Amino acid sequence: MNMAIALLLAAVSFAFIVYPFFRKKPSLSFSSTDEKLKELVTQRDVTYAMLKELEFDYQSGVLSKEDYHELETIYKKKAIAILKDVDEVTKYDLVNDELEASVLKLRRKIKKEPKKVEKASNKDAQIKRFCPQCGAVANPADRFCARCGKALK
Amino acid sequence: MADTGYIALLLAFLASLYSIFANVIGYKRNSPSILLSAKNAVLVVCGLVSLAVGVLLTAIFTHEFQIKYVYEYTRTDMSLPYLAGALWAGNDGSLLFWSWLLSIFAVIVVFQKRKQGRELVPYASAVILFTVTFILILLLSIANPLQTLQFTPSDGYGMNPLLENPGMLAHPPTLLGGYALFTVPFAFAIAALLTGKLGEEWIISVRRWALAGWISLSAGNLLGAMWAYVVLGWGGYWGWDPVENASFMPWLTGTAFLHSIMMQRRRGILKVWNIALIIITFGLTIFGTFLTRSGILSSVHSFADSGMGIFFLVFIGIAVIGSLALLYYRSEALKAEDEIESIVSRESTFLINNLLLLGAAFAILIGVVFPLISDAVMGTRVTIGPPFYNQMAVPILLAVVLLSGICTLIGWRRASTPNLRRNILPPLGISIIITLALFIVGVRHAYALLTFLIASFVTATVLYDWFRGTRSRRRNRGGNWLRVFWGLLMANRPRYGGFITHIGIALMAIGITGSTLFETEETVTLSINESVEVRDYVLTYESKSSSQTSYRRDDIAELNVTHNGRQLGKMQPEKRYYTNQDQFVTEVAIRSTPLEDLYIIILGWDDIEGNASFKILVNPLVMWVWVGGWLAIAGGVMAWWPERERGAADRRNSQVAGGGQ
Repeated sequence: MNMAIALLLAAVSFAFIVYPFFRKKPSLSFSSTDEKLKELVTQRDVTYAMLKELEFDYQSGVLSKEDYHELETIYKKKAIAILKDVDEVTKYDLVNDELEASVLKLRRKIKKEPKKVEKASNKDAQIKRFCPQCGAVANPADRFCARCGKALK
Repeated sequence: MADTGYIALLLAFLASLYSIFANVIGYKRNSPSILLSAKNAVLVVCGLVSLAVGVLLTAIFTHEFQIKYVYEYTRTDMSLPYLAGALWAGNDGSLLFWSWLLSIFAVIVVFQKRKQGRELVPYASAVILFTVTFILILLLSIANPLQTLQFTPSDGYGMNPLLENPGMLAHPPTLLGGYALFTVPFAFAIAALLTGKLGEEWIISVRRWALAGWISLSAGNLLGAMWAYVVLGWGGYWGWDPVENASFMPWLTGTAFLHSIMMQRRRGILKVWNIALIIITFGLTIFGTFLTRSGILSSVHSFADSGMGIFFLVFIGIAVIGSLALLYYRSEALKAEDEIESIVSRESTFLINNLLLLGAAFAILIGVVFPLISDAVMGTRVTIGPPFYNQMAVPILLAVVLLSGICTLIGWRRASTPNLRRNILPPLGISIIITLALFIVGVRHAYALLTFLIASFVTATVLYDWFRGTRSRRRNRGGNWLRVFWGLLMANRPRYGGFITHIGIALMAIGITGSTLFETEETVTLSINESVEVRDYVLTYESKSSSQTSYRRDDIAELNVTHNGRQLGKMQPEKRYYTNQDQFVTEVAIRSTPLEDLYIIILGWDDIEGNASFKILVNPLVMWVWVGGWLAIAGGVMAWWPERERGAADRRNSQVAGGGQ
């Protein structure tokens, strides 16, 4: 009885542990662009958190107006620099997107799939925004232009 | 049954070992299959340990006294909750429970969806499993909770009667939970050192784990204090017992850690310090377990000497020395990105607060290990009593409380002097007025006045901060004061949760001062209908009654109580005799008000004369220790509570207002 249970438990555990080796290979989990981007996102979030903290300190009077504005400028500059880097990294992705869009276009010619393309071009229009001052491409999430620092919207 | 559990533990041990290696190899080779397999192995470990826990619990509930642990800690007449509590009543069971918690946390760490620090997960789970493996070795060798006896006794021996209290159901699991939770930040710190990814990721990944550990450890300590107050019957709640200290030290360093990671996140400083702090905290949690289980110190908490002390020492040695060596190896990469600019800045108050907390922990550590050192050096065991701790730790902790008020007044980087003056004057004025009022009323004790000054200052600074925050928010958005105030708190839960904790700690300081410096204690022997006056209370011993069950005899005294001539009702302290264990337990009678507690303990009976001896205490302000403690924990929970997932539209606006952690 005990032997049977032991064997059963061992078999189930073993099967579960080795199962991933027999599955179709999943994609690599850590690519270098991905990693760089995540690092930047972390830095961005940390900077945002500091800006939030400063705002609350100012609201409750801990920071004087001058100190608040000075510190806010420092951290906003930092945030902008980080966002610039984020754009640098994601540019590769943007290029890839464009490639894929043209591939789709070709496919449409061959297979006639108008629906999908419509969706893709919609998406494209959503992604691309331009800075009114310098004309650089901006992400929808950007509040400031990554090139010239002009406030967007 | 028992064999199934043992087999499960054995297989869990193997799977755990496998997962450690697979995680390391999988990460090194960047192989998703190996990493996935390691991940599944974590789930297997958790499943198997859960199975063993299930087996033990089933045996406890079905009274399988052939299993030694069930025989030693349960009885057929125990109620269901205490039967469940038997899981952590003994040495072996509590180790099993601990490994179970750790394996559950490992599963959460591995399967949690996270934005940051995913690369750290393989090594972090390996470190957690390393701890699990260590405990599994103990469970499989010298602390097997599923060991069977040669025969089957008809009934069990039962739990120590002192443990049959609601405190038993909550105090050990919360404390052990706190210990286990602090393993996770430690694991991520080690993972950061091993992978060399020493940025902010690990700090962000562990913030909520460390906070959860802090909450759990705080609740554990507080519940322990409440339990001691109602059960141990000496009128106090904290005795600087070695094991109380053992759980207080990681609380202190954990508190320091929670504050110093804030500095790394905001300013990119104190990187080495943070890793060192979490290593120390983890080391102290294991050290606490070592103290209770090795039997080297006598304490109300110790289990019988189980011979596992040496195992724990070796484990602490490997963990602490290994991690510190790793930290040294990586110290080049841990250079601060910035520096503290001004002595009058939030950073510097945080740093001083950190040093003080660590200093307090160190002072207590010296007190704890002094008997061992003196034994080794001089051959006599010199035990350190409460006066040492009161003189060493209390002033330091008071300074910490004071700083918790000051730091909220000072901004990051620097504070402009006129601004600081404007912020500090109103709360300081209020606290001075309160202290003067107390002095006029007749409080003359310098220590007490200082504590009340500091505590009221801290509370006033927080309230003043809330007032200004609400006022400026209301100016911008308008609306009802209360609603705006609530909106303010909810807009930045980590910040305001922390402030609530500060108020809680200040209230605790008031309660502790009141109850230790102004208590009245009287020991009296009364015959029936005789009265005694203690402070403003008159107590009359009216009757004695007894009741008997199969395993215990209860003797109950009834006293009539009046306060300044006003009738307050009857109070009934009890003394219980547990026949099985031949042990007396006192059930104290407590009447609690915000101002003071009346606390009656039966010391003994004189059966021939019909007299009874009582110890009667009046403990002022004790209630504030509990109120403050729970408020501090509530603040911790508020800071821990997950921030709402923002939608895409909100994310766009997160430029200034957002950022989350």
